This record gives sequence, structure tokens and C-alpha cells, in this order.
Amino acid sequence: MAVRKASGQAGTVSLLLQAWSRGELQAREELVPIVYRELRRRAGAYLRRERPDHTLQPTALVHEAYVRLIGQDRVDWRNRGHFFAIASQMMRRILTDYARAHEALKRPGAGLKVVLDDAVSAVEPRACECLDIDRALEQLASIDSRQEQIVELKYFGGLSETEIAAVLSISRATVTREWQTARAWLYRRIAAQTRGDA
Amino acid sequence: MTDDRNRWERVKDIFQAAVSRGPEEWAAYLDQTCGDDRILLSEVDSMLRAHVNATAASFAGQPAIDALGVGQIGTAPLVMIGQQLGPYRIEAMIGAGGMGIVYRGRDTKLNRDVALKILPEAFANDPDRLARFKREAQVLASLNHQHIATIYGFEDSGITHALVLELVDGPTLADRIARAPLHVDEALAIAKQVAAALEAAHEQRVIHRDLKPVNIKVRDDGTVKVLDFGLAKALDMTAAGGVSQPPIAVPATSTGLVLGTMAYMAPEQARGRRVDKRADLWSFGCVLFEMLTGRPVFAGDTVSDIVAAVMKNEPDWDALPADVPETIRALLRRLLQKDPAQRQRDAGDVVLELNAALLSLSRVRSGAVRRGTRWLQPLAWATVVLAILFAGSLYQWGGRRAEFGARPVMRLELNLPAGVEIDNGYSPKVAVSPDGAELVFVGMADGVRQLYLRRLDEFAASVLRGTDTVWSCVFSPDGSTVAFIVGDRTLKKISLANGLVSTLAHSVDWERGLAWGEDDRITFARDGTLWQIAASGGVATQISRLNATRKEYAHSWPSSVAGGKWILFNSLVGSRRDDARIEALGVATGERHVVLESGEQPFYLPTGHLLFYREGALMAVSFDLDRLSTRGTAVRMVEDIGVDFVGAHVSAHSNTGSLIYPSNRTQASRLVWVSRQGVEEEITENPQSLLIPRLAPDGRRIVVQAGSDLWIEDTTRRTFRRLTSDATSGNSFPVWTPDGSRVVFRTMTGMHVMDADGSGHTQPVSGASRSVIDLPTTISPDGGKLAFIRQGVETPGDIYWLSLRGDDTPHSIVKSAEYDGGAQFSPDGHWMAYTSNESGRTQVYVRPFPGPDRSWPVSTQGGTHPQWNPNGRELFYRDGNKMMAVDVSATGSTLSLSDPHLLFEQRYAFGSAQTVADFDVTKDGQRFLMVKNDSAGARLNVVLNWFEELKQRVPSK
Repeated sequence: MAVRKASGQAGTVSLLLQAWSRGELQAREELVPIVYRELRRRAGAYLRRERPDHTLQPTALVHEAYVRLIGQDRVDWRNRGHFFAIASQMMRRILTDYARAHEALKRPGAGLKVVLDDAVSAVEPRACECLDIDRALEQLASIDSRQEQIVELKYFGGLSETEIAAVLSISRATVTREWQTARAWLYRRIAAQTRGDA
Repeated sequence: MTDDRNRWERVKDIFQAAVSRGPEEWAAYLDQTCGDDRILLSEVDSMLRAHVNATAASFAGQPAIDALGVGQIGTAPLVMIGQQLGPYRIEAMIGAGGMGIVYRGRDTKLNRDVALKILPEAFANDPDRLARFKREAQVLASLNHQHIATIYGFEDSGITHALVLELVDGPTLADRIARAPLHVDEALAIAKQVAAALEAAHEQRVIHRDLKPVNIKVRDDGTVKVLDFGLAKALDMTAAGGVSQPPIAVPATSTGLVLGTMAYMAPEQARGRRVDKRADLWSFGCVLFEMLTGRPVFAGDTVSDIVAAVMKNEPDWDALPADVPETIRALLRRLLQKDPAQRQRDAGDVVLELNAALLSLSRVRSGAVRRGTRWLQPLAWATVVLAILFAGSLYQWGGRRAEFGARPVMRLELNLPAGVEIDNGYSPKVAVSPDGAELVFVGMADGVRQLYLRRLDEFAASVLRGTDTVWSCVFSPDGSTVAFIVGDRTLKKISLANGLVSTLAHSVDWERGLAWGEDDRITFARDGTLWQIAASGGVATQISRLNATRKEYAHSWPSSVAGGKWILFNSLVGSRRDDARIEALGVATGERHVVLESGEQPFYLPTGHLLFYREGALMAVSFDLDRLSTRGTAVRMVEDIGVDFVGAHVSAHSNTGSLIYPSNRTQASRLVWVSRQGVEEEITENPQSLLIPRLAPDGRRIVVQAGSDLWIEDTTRRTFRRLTSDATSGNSFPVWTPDGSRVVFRTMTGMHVMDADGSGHTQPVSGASRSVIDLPTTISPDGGKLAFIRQGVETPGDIYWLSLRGDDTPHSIVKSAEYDGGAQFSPDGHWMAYTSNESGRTQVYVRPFPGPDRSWPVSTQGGTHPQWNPNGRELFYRDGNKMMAVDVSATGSTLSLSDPHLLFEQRYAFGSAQTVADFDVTKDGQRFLMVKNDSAGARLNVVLNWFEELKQRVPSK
């Protein structure tokens, strides 16, 4: 069944989401580029500090994109959940691309975590986790796809555990447990790979 | 693939169940759940370790975009790395803030590391400001004091302008305060150095203007450096010292920055008035107050809240800890005078006052030891000091030994310093110097685990700074240095002469021992194999490999012998303690010799003995170092040596014959009666922790879990007998049958029922299953139905019941996606109390049994461990340390419940299951049977001249 064209992007995305949640897979294909463009624009602006007011909470990116694309603040979680799931997946791609592009400027495999503070040596260089997590997550996905999704939603999408519980229709406690497990697994994997520097 | 998945599900379940318990229960829990499956156990174990490390490191602690976003300084500053600025090579960015970005640089002329503060562009483009800044910088560069970070100069490449500063390593005082509250003497020692810095600067007419914890650095050796003297003014951070003009180059989080500055700013400074040195003394007062209390004296969420607090609020003087001397309280009152005219005006006087206070504190401290709780204490200390020195001198004058003949063996107790606790009731790690004159132990004070040094010719133990989260320790052969492993698995060493701490290696197994050989090489374990590193540092090398055909899973407990040529160690295969073999490893050759087929934690003594542990006792056997073999039989030497929370024994040995260990008798666990008003009466005491006591229907016998066995205490005959035998393992969760003749319990191979008469007659209740764990909790009053918690792949815990007569098919009663547990039948069998954390919080509920399916909440604020009053009209449950009671009345199929009320609030054990009552109630409902763990025994046993006993009982030739 073809997706009815609606006027304005907000309506389109909303309809695409509905269609997708009914099981029409091609709706997802149409949805992806729209959401991707929107997220990319927002994430890029944030990361390049183009927002003069700095009012944007970085973790609110996905939410903001949702409100903008769907044009309303409250929708049932089933639709919203679908949206957040793909948005988080895209954020993963956008952020790892960004990190990869900037890695060249730094020591290989390392990044800097800067604490904004005026003490002389307040911070130490710290490994950038994002690319490592992305790579390890591909391996985790093969044994536990739900955990992959939770990491995507939480770490890349910036969703809270309560929101993730709603998206995946599981309890908050389960999200916490699964997140802890996934995090330990990823940490162990990354630690094992970076070891050997005795 | 499916197998992999199942495997992963199993690992995941056990991991998650373990995480929901406390780390102290992990070892026992893994043993219980994994059984003989060592691969499963090591898999879960590595996950748990990763969990601990990931949490500690805040791994993935914030969303990726936040982590990337703080790199929002943009790409430009990063480009500077690698560039040359005058004689300085820019190496790494180390900080950024309102005053610009700070890099670590290398002075290629003077060959030293410096900090380079790159001035903000807006600033550098203003020639007037720049000129003024250069003049100021020259004045500041003239400040030369040991507690002031020096300004070396100003570097100007035309477009980039940088201030060159002394690079100071170490955490800031803000980091230090955030980590844990400072002790009074520590706070005063830091304050004294800050005050001395202020005094020196004020003499040069330089005012800091922005003194605060982030501008104070505390090195590992305790030396303090004050940063950024006068820079606030030089950089025009504040107009005339006021805040009317916002800081330049305000970063995104400038609110935090301004807040951070405002909280320490004197009232006159905040008003924008002219400031003098008294403003610094105000800020100093704020810093001192914060060090003592752990929180800022003036706080608020917004700038205006803080300013209002600074202007109007009186500091909360009651927040100062009780041990802050009166003179310091008075000093703080003078420093925090809002009217500068009334304020303390001279930093030099402050230094003198702090000195006096520190001196009297150290007197009070040694006095406190003398005024100790028991009259024996000073005597014991004095005796130990004399005796150990005596033994030490004998050791040094070995040639004259014969004149004295055999020296008497002496046994003494040492109390740990006041305020130092044993970590969770487990034994503190301890090390003794080879000459027996110095003792180092792991102590816990205010939640921080640190090393304490006791020189035995002094009364007071002192904290070794830079040893936070220490796990274990070992002395160097010359006694000058202590190597130790801290929580993030780093191996470090600390010099006892100057307190310098340096890092030797990372990713070290913290629970597998440590050895420092005569060859000055340190042996440690990493991922279950042995490694060595030179004590002076360098690259670690692996010296042992796991033998795959033997299915070894770890090597541990190295002990260096024969000048470092050989390492004695444990090789571990199975799950039982007997599976630990003692072997010798040739460090250069890699060859291995089996020394003993079973034994743990080998340690070689210069008397020609090998010490090791077997069946809980310290054993000794004569050992031929040339042939690497034992001679004769091993003898049990000491029985009461304490264990740490992974089950390793803790003892230390000097070459002079001192044996030092925490006694396991300090780990007593007691059964007590507690009245409804909280009055206690002791029943029995046991060195092992007791769990889940259950009173028999006769009111006389108690079945209780001790270790991995069930025991029966007969309260009238005063006997304590082991009930379970070696036929079953992991025996736990006892439940009496209503006639008191039998006990149902959990084993590694499913639920069993055993006659309580000691005949040992046992039979399984249900079939064993690898995929679920069943924990029996209650039997219906007619003896027909057993309810239990089933933990498995699909759920953390559901409640089931099965018939004890005939068909044993389990029936589900309470099933949610969350943990349901704690089931207890009401005395009439028509109701069941249970717990569930379905609501996100563990609460107690009651429901009809077997149906219909509805429930009444009992607890309101969270509750666990439900237990009925045997009269059936009252339910008890626990909420933390509180024992709560709720009146229950049933009419037909409905229930009415009163509001919960508190009976008593005291610390009792909480058992190994989160929900199953770790207590019982007497038939009259008036007394509670509870477990009380004794954590007060913070003392060490010292045996002097122990070698005499050793030689006598275990001849070495």
C-alpha cells in the first residue's frame, strides 16, 4: 500500500512512521534519509559549535529532531519508539563518522576529554571511547541484539533508561540490568584489545 | 550458534544476579551457581571485574555526543599540538577554561616540562590589555615560593601569546575533597601550606583574588602548590576585582565557572569594591571550611543564590566535625567575617595558628591511644614495641644469638588506630618489613581504603598518602619501599622515606598475590599468569604460561626464593580448594616442579620452611631449596587466620620470626534474641558468618547456615552440630517441616530434604536442573506444600510451589518480569507473604493461597524479608535496619492491613538472598531470632619469635 502524501515534512514523517509500525517496510526506507539529514544537521551544528546560544542540550538532539519532524510533542510510544530506534542507529553512524574524521588530528586511537575549568592541568588526555564502543558493539550484536539496541539507544541516542524501557516495552529494571551487562562486555572486549602495552 | 547463545544467556543471568548482590557475596555466589563449570565461572568473573572497572572509569558514562561535544573548543587548538612556540614544543592539551587553553609543553632549551597558557584571541588582539598583562606577568614572575606555582615568563610568537608556567602534577584540592573528606590533620597540613603561600605573596603585594580548591594542587607527597596567583586581575577576569564584567571567552559551561569562583569570593569583592589581601583570607577561610566539612561554605544553584549566601548567611558552624580544635573554629570565625575590618588580616599569623593546632592534635592523638578503651592496650603496644625491637636487634647481631638461647614465643594483640575499620568485616591485608620493625596494613577510614604504616618504635600509625583503594601490599627486601595494588588494577610502589608514589604496571590481578624478590624484581599475576617487572620500573614480562592440557585456569600467590631464581606459586585447576597445587617455576628457564599436590598461598621462610594453607590452617613443612622438595610431614601451625573477601588467608612474616595476622575470631557472627523493643540476648557465636536462622516448631532447636553447611543449635543443651554432610554441597536456605522432624534445603544439585535427627538420611525433593536454581523458603502448615523461589533464564525470580506428597510438578504462584521472592505461608496456610520489585522497588505483599490472583501491599516505603507472627495476626518485614510490623486481619477472602509501624532499628545481618527473611520469630511473637555480625574486631595478632616454635614443631633438617 502506497503511503499517502501529506503536506509538509512533519505530516510525511508521521505517516511514514505509522506505515512502518503497521509493517510496511518500504516506509522505513523513505524515512531514513529524512531523519538522517535532520540529525546530521543538528549534530554537526552542535559539534562545530555553530549554535551561538548553546541552549541545546546535546542529549536532546533526538527528541528535538522528533518534535521537528513529527510536529507534535506527544505521540504514542510505539511510533515514537520506532523513531528513536532508527534515530539512535543514525546517531551512531553520524557520531562515529565525526569521531573518525577528527581522529586524524590527534594521536591514533586517542581523544581528549576536556573539562572546562581554569585550573592549569585539570584534565588528562583520555581515550575516546566512541569508536571503540562502535567496533565492539558490532561483535556484541552477534550474541545479543537486544543489548546492542539498548547501547545504541542509550549511548548513541542519548535516551534515558526510562525512555528506553518505553521504546522496547520492557521494565526499567531490565534496561538497567541489560545496560550494565552490555557495558561490562564492551569494556572487557575493548580492554582486551587495547592491552598488550605492558 | 544456539549453544553460544545459551551460554551467553547463562553467563548473563549469573552476572546480573551477582551484580544485584553486593561484591562481598560474589565469590560465594559464583561458587554456588557455577559449580564445577570453571569456564563459566571465569567468564562471569571476568564480566564482574569489567563491571567494576567500567563503573570506576565511568566508561560510556555519558552519551557519545556529549563526550565528543566537549571537544567543542573546536579543531583549532588541537592543531597547535606538535607546534613550536619559541623554545617550547607544544605536546598535549591538558586543560581549558576562562583564562584560555592550557597545554603541556617542553622547554627544549632547559629540558623541562612546562604548562603553556595560550591567551584568548580577543585578549591578544587588544594591544593595551596585552601590554598591561605583560607588566603584570613580570611582577608575578618575581614570586618565588615553594608553595606557589611559578610563572616562568611570557612567550609571544606574534600571533600566539602564551604564559609559561610551572607544570604541577597531581590532583587539585577540589578533586581531593570530592573523593573523600579530609582528616583534620590532613586539612590543616594543606591549609598551612596555602597560608604560607599567601603570606609570601602578600609580602610582595600580590593578591591572589581567585583562591579556590581548583587553584590548589596537592601532590602525592602532600606538597601543596597554589596556582594562578594574581592572574585573575592580570587577565582582567574581573573588573576591579568585581564581577560586573563577565569573564572573557566565556565557554559554554561558564555558569559553572562563575559559580565556582563566586562561592569563594569575599563579600566586598562580590560587591565590586576595591580588594586587598583580606579578600584572600576570606577565600582561604572558605577553602579551609570546605576541606573540613567536605562541602562549600556558601552554596547555591545560581549566581544570585550564591552571592546572597555570601552576603547574608552565617556559615553552618555545626557542620564542622567534632574533632576540629577550638582554636581552628575561632580562626574560621575570624576569617569568615563579612566586614573586612573585622577580619583576620595577616596570613603569617594564620600559619602560626595552624602550626600550633597541628602540634596539639598530634599530642592529643598519641594521648588518645593511651586513654584507650582497655587498660591492656598501652601495655600491649609497649610490649610489642620492645619485643619486636629486641627481636630485631637479635636478628642483626645474629652471631650472638647462642648466648641468649631459645627466645620465648610471645603472642600479643595490636589494635588498629581509632577510626580505622576493617573493610566490611573482612581481614585487612598486612605486610611486615623483613627486619620486623615496620608494619603496613590496609585500613578503611571514612570509606577510603588506604595503607597505614606503623613504625613499631612509634605509637601512632600514619596514613600513606597516594594509596587510596589499595588492595594488597608487600615490602621490598630492604624494607625501604612497599609495593601495592590499587582498585583499578594498577601496581604501584611507595617510598617510606619520602612518600613518593610511582606506577609500575597496569591490568594487574589484584586478588592473586604479590612478591618482591632479592633480585629486586616484583612478581604479580595478570589474567591468571605470572609476570615480572623490575622494581625500578620498565617493561613487564610474562614468566608463566597456563598448561592447557591440565586445564589450568590461573597461576597465583608467587613467592620469590633463592635470590629470585625460583618462584613458588599456586596453579589452579578445579573448583575446590584442594585443586590448588604448589609448584616452583624457574624464572630464567621456565621449568616447573611440583612441590605439593595441594596447598594454597606458598611462602618460603629463611628457616628452611615452606608455609602454606590447607583446610583453613597455616601449615609448615621442611623444604629443601636445592632440590625444591619438601621433607617430612606438614604440621598445622595456626588455625585462626582471617580471610579476605575473596577467601584468601591473610598473614605476614618477617625474617626475624614475627608472624602477624588478623584473627578470624574477630569475624564472629552471633545468633541473638531480640525483643520487640530491640533488647538483645546472645545465643551463640561462630567464626563463620551465619545465615537464615530458622527456629524449629519445638522452639528449642535452630537450623542455620554456616559456610556452605547447615548446623543445628540446641538452645537448651547448648550444642552446635553440623547437620549436612559432604554428600551434598552448597547447602543453604533451610526450612523446617511443620512437625520439626526434617529440614528442606537447597544444594548444588537441587532441593533436598534431610532428617534432623543427625542420621544423615537425605533425599532429593525435586530433580536437579542446570537452567534454574530453586531456593526453598516455606512449607504449608499441613506439611503438604513447599514454596520456593525459582531463579532462571527467563526471570530473576518467580515463586512456585510443589507437593511434598506425590506429584512434584512445580506450579507457578507469583510471576513477574522482576524479582519475586521471600515467600512465607501464613500460619493458617490460606495466605502467602512475598516480595516483588515489580514496582521498581522491593515491597512486601500478601496474597491468598493458592488463589484467587490478587494481592495487598504490606510495606509502603519499601520492604523485604517478610515473616509472620505465628499467631497469624501480624506480619513483620525489614526496611534497611528497621524491623517493621503490620497488623493483619482476614475476613473471608479479604484482608485488612494496618499502617506499618517501627519495632526497632538496629544493624543485623541481611543474609545472602535479598528477599528471604534472615530472621525468625518465636511462637509467642515476642522475640526475634537474628544474626549479628561483629565488625568491631579491628586488631591484629602478633606472634614474636615464632621461629622457635616452628623449629621445635617442624625440624628443618
